Amino acid sequence: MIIKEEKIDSSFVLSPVGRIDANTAPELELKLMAVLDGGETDVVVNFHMVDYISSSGLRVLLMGAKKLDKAGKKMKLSNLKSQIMEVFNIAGFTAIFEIS
Amino acid sequence: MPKIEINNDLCELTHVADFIKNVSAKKNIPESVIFDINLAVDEAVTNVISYGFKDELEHKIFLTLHVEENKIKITLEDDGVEFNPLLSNEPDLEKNVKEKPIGGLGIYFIKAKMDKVNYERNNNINSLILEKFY
Repeated sequence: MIIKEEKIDSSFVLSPVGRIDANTAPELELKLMAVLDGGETDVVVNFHMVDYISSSGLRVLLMGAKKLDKAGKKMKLSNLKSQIMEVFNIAGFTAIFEIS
Repeated sequence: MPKIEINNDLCELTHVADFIKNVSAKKNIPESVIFDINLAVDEAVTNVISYGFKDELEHKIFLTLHVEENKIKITLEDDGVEFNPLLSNEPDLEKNVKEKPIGGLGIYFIKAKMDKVNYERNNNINSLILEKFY
């Protein structure tokens, strides 16, 4: 899966492209964990180019959220399409992220 | 009846999604319904591929999609270990970030998104039957 990386001001932005399912989630996990282990605490996952997410994707984001929580921070998620937002809603995941 | 046969390899998930999309597009099924079916089937297939087989061999998983008036019925068949997803516990969605367990949402998504879920085990075959009204 293609995952774009950008540093915008103090934020580190990851923009995955396409589907985040059990097949592609490990790639997102590797990249996200590398960014967090590198000490970034202002992390944004931009969903602009994501058209699908399964529980495998949520699992990776939760792992990231748990790491950031130890630093007293919330992971930021942006540009979620309505159907993707619905997946976060039914999972009870909206409160653990800062969603814009 | 539209049918697809896949191997027990997670890279097949995109083929499953394409299959559902192609069949549904011909029947004018709403986008949100297609998304829900895709999510439920994706979670079910992921579980079978990830946990269903105790050997390293190639296995086939069969998926049929039957579109009726206002109802879609999906049947998933595999020769993996017996597993009835209806017997799994519901996750506690209220837990905070520290308490939330990693994983365990897939089967909950299937139950949340489908109107009917049935499981049968016959002749060493798991059959999961999902129904969605629209």
